Amino acid sequence: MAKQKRFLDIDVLEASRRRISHLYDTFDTMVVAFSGGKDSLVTLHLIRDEAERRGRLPVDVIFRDEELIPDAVIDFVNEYRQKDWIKLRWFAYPMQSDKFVMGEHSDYVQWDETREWVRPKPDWAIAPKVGGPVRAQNAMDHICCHGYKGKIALVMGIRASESLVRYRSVVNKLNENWVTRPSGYTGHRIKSCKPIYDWSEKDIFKYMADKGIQWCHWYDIQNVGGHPFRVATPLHAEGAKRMHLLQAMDPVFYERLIKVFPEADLQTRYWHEYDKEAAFKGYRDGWAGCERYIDDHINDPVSRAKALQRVQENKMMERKQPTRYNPELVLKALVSGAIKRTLLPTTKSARL
Amino acid sequence: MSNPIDDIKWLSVKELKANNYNPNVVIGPELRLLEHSILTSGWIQPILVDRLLNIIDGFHRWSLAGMSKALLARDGGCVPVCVLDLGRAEAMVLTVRMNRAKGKHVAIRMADLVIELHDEHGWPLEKIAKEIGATAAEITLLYENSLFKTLDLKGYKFSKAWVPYDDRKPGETDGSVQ
Repeated sequence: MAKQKRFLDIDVLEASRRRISHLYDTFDTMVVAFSGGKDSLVTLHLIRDEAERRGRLPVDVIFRDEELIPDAVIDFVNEYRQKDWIKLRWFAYPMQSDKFVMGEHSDYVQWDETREWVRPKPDWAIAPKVGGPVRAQNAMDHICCHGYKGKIALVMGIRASESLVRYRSVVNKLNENWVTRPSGYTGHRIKSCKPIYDWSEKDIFKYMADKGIQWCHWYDIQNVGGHPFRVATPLHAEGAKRMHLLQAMDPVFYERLIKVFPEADLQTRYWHEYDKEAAFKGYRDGWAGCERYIDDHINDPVSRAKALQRVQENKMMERKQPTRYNPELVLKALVSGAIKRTLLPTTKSARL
Repeated sequence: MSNPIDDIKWLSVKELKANNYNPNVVIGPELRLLEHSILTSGWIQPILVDRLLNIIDGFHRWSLAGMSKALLARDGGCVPVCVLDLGRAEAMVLTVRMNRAKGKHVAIRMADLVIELHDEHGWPLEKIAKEIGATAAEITLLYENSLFKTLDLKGYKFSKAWVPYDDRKPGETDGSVQ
């Protein structure tokens, strides 16, 4: 066994306080990447406590406005923007993104200047001049850090228990495992820091309850709407699977969304009964089938590269553990849009 | 223009025919709720049929009228019917239009509705569950409408902090937070 969790004698709250104090000792500027979500909200409040103790208020915060965000989330972030202990910079850049509709990945641009927008750009948003380049997602971290001084700690509310990718992002390194170089960034000035990486979802809600922190109303809506707690865009592969819930959670936002992206309505009506078996037909001839599926269905270059990388990874794993990795597993992931994550091997029960 | 609804007549369920194209499905519990509704509130809208008495809208109410003992005893196997001067193609699209135009419930507003029924009109939660065809669990979720209660945080303690550890490189684990 290589990587394991070694539990410490302190709880996650105490550990995070020490981590944040350590950040204040070693970086010139602390910037919280806020999404309106509960994890970055808790991070923001933890930073506030330390900033207060050190007389370093207000807290610098950035918000990356991804356009396809429900009003409940936008209103919440805007409330925080106006708090006196916060100095928030709100970015609304044209950004390359990926949507997933009826088994097909394709790209779109958030705040695309050539189409109608799902919501107006707020007056206070920082946006580049019209006609500028469309940014890649991983370029945004350092664009948002422009203007901050010295060594910058970009503090994020990422937690290992959210997904395997996120788990991996905090166990790659052993020493200061939660302080890493932002992906796609080659400089040394900015580090991404994840001081609450070991918190569970329940820890997050306990902290908010103890401190009397009000969360974004969107979570209440999701709670009764039967949706997992997320504030990400609904066209993302994860969100798209639950498009039919969005209609019942925020019909006004939903209507604006399908006005600009009519294909999302198709997803709502049919994805839950989309015949994934039929989608496999004609592609069941091993790795060649997987590659052909990518050729036929995944157009956007970034997603294509990711999908092909998944095929390569799994081909290698199959050589080591042929009972656990196979083309069928990869094909399934391709059809359901799960290409961004490393795949979990077939379980014993599924193999029978 | 004269409206089809101006002329409603009572016909035996045996005279009407099911159409073979309606994509709408009503599941068992909702069918029982529909029966409860017709028994409590009576017939509140007619079954719509085309020229040949094929059902355009109201298939499930029609099935119940012919199957439910309570309804057969009360209405003698008759249903209120409105005949529309339509052929099959027009009937098909009207069916879909009617299904789609019914809309969806917004969950958070359902919660407000349940809270008002209980708090202001004094309805017990069991009664609300029966009247709107919900399970006890659904009503509890809608009524409490609180993440704290759903997550059950009472007595919960923060979990233990952890660091990644590699038994092949035991010296490299982070010591800064211990």
